[in-house]
Amino acid sequence: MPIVVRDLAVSYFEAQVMLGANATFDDGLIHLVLGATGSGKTTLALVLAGLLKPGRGTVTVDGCDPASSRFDRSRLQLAFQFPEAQIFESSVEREIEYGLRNFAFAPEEIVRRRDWAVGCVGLPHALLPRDPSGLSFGERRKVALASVIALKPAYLVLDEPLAGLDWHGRRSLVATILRLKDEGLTSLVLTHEADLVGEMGDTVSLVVKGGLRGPMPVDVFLGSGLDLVPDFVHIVKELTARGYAIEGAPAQAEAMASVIVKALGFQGK
Amino acid sequence: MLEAQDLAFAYPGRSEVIRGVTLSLGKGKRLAVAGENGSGKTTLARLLCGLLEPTAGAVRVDGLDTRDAGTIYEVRRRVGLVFQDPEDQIVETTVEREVAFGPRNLGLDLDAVDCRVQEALGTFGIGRLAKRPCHLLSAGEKQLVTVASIFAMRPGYIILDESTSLLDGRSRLDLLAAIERLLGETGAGLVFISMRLEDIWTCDEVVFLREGLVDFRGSREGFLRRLKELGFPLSGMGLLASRLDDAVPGFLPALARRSSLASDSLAEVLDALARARDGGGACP
Repeated sequence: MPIVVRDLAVSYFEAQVMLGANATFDDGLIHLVLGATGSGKTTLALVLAGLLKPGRGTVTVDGCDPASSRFDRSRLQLAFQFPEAQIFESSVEREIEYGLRNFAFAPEEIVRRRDWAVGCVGLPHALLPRDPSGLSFGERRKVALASVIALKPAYLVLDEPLAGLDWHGRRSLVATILRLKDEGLTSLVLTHEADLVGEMGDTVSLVVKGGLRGPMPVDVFLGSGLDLVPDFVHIVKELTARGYAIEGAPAQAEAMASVIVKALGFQGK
Repeated sequence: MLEAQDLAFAYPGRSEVIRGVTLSLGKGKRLAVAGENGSGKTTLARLLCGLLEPTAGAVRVDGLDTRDAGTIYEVRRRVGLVFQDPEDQIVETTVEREVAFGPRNLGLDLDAVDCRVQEALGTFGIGRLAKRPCHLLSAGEKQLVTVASIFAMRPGYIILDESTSLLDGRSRLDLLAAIERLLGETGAGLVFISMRLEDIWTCDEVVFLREGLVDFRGSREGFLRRLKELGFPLSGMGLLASRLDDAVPGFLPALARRSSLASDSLAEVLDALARARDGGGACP
């Protein structure tokens, strides 16, 4: 069943973050939720995970309020923005195995899933016995992501999963989310990184002025002329203003390079 | 001058996190430090501001050795570190109190503190958050507050530890512009730890750490070539610049003369190269 957000309003004391947001996120897709700094992305993530009760409106996951005791918690998992918010075990392997143990997976399945998740985020195996508190920020983020991915929930909510990840970590995470989609999983990726649009994502939603716009197809988003489109897309406008005829605005940086090279008549080196 | 000489550090009971690191940063200069997760970037930042003492080698700030207990407070006055995780840095209840914390501890009088706070809040575009409790800010807003807090102390050298990682594109460009302006006004030196090519392109020189060692030290374009040589997967503007480098003669050397990797900068370079090729202008 889709995740349905209806008339969602949330405020923290005097600061109103959500002011009546509506959206329906269909099953089996990767939904990117983009928003500026302070727009309310994390608030939405917390409401979806049932960790924050909205002041008004409803959210339903599997047709159920995620904050209710009737909600099956194994169905939706949230990776927090800051790994510190979720890591508490004494070693990396114990941290990643924790959720699996709590959902009573068999010991061999726990090890299999742990090793799979560690590979997905590109975490070196040598770190498994280490105390997470002694790891770097980026390494801790990988641990937090691995512990959530290992559970293979039906719905995965990732809050700024790319912040602090290195080049390979980013590439591995994108590949993992795409692979999980093939297995039928629904992902909501809340991020400020518009560049991701060219790498994954079936739909794009925008958190603006306390509401949600979308989900919309990627090409509709790219053509919207909104501030939040990837910076490399703006180059079309810049070159057009200089008198070049550029056709289309591809979502991938690589394709954009080809379009530019052709339009400006460069023949290569 | 902020100098590290043959620097090494090991956390107690562990092998060395960084070793043989030598670098120097003059006033008014910008040095980027890049590296994979766990390569030693944050450890280096802590060594450079005297928060950690090296196990070998030395760090000198305008000639002051960070191991000298007699001058450590002077070292910390001169080098401001913005922590990677804002939660590690924020200690006060509201945004304006947080930004005032540093200047107050420097012993400035109340009027001067107030002046510094207003200036910093204005520069980083967070004046509207002044009265907000810090714990109710979003992660990106917290990141802006931590940067503003350190700039309000006007240190001679500023270290940003991935301080753009939680900011959207617009906020990031605004932050980079504000930093640029402040560095121009104060003449401070900047160490910018980042994995974003857009951030790195604002710096004069790049140090690339791999497993605690300096793998590369040199120009921005040299660093981009090194990433390509290593087969590192790039994205966004970095990937676009890399592909244009493959296909457009003279692109990277021309881009290297600019300090921005934003779309307008790339478009100007491409336009100038196309005109030069068609005989309509000089090579940029």
